[in-house]
Amino acid sequence: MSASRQAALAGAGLVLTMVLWGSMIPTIKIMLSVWDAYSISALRFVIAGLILWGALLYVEKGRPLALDRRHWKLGALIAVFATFYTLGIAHSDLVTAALLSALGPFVTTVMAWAIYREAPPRGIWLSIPFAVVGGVLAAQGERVGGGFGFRGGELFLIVGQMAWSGYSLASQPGSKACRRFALPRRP
Amino acid sequence: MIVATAFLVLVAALAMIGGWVPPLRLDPDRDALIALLWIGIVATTVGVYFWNRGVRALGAPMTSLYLNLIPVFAILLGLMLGERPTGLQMLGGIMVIGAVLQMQFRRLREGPRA
Repeated sequence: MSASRQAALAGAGLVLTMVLWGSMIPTIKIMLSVWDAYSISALRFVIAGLILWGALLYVEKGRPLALDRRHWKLGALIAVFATFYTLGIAHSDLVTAALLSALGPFVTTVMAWAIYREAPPRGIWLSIPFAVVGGVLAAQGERVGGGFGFRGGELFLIVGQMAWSGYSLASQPGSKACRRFALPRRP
Repeated sequence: MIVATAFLVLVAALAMIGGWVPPLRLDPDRDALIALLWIGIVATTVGVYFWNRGVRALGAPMTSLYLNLIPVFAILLGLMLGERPTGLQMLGGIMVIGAVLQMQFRRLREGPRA
């Protein structure tokens, strides 16, 4: 498969993902009438984890899965994201939450540069301000009058955002981040 | 995902044992059950799969730009349900789509990730 076709397919998959993740907001509202935020996070990951585990066993043809240190780090980062992000949404003003959520691309790019010394992709410094400002404006629908302030949950949102960025960076194959995780441990 | 699931189950269990949240309800109504299946099977499973594929093909910084499309799709969903977006929301949506397209076209021109 050509590189451009691969990139186009990856983009299409991500667009589908954003449609699905966008549908999670009203879905979670329905679920919150029955379960608390912690239980919802755990339940949905139990379902998804089992399905992906089954898929992995199928692809690996039943070979035993070896969990190394890197897998534990990646799993912990997802768990920190899921827990802190839910707590952040619950304990922050809506406009502030929208603003912090929209900063994702900036956080990821800065972390890639600051921690792993990865050069940012060309053109991203032009795209980030548009994506961040656009994301904040687009998220203003039901949030008008929701308030802009500091209630403590904002720190959870920032930690959650950093954990997701850390997960994404560490799971890039061939990246400096990945190679760093892959360094052999001292005997 | 397996490790993350284990951590999240542990967090939820500790929250219940600590009394911060009520015990898990095992008698959800039909709507909540459908919502759980949708979010678990479709949104999380398919979403995480395509996210990881995107990170592999495009890199994390560029992939993260797509996250800001979520409110844009929420607006489009609202449009289908008869809601009218504000001018600022429309402008925001155009800005996010423009930012993503700019990087996507650049990526297509430059070829594979090193």
